[in-house]
Amino acid sequence: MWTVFGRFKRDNCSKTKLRLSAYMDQRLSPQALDEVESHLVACHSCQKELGSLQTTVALLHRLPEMLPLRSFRIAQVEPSRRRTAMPLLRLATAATAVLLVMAFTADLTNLFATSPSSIGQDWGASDGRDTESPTVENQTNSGQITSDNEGDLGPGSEEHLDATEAGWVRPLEYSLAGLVIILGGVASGLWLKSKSKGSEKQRKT
Amino acid sequence: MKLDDSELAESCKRGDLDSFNELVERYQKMAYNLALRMLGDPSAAEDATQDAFFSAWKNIRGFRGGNFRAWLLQITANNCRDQLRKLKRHPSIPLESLPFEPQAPPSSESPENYVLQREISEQIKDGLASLPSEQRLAVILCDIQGLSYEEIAKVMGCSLGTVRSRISRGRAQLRNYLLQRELLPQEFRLNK
Repeated sequence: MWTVFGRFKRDNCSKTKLRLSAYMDQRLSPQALDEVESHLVACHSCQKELGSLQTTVALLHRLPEMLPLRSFRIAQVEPSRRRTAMPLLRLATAATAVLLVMAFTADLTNLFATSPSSIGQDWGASDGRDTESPTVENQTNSGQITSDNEGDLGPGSEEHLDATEAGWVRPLEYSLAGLVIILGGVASGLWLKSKSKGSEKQRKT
Repeated sequence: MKLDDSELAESCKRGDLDSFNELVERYQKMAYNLALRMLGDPSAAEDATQDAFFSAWKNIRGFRGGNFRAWLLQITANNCRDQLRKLKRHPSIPLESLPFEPQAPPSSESPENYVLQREISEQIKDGLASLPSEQRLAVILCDIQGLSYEEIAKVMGCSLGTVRSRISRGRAQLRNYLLQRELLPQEFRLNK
């Protein structure tokens, strides 16, 4: 009987102790408030607990307010009047990107394709190989022509092979792509640097 | 005529820096004290406070009205969390060992009282530093800054129940810390 009563009291104590902080701040529901108050009347241990918490909070209230050694006002930062290469760099990046897109589009629509006659002329002029017949590598066993070496074909080949990409297109595209990456990288780097400088300056002022 | 926080914040949204600086003057002591109690180091607290005001100015358009003080303290608390994370990753000086700036005693206070008060302040500061950061923040906002539970919930971005439990656990842990160092009166030492 006494053991059951003792356990009930202990449970009540731990429940009350958990509510003491909210009790001090008057944040308990009316029912919880009643329970805590009626328990406190009878329990010396919980009264002590409440007293110690109240003293702790009173000490916190008495802590002096510390004064900052400086003001945290924000100063307006005047825009820099120094000329920078940024606008020019942005323009160059944009122009190169536009050229790259144009080159790709033209390439996709076969605008750079050379005519068969010019292939023949180029061919003869460049390496002097026989234009009459395709080389052995250009033919498969069944007599069909491989697509990899379409540029080597001479006049008289099939219709769909007439359009042949000029040799300078790919290097042009790669160069433009490289230029866009480099210019874009430099422009972004400079922009980030100027941004961080600006915020640091504003923070310091 | 003195404008209230919401009116000043509206002016700030239109780019009026003077209005923002008016708000800075109002809340800089509060923000600095929060940072100082959270970080324990005056210079780190100054940096966190300045960053908080700077980022509040930059993001003033994101302030959707309501309690400006809670919004500002939320930014300050976030900055303090970032600083604490950095300190955890690259520990330099432990929080407890950093003294606050000495201040002259007020003329009304006796030197003995001043020394005693300073000693207690130092112990409380160490006690606060021993709390988990979220409990410390809740206790500072409630018992030092005097914010309501609702404001604390806004600053900490959590529910009222969480606020209540963090304050309760933080106070209990701080009380135990002070009891161990015999800073509370004899009658509160439960084991004696």
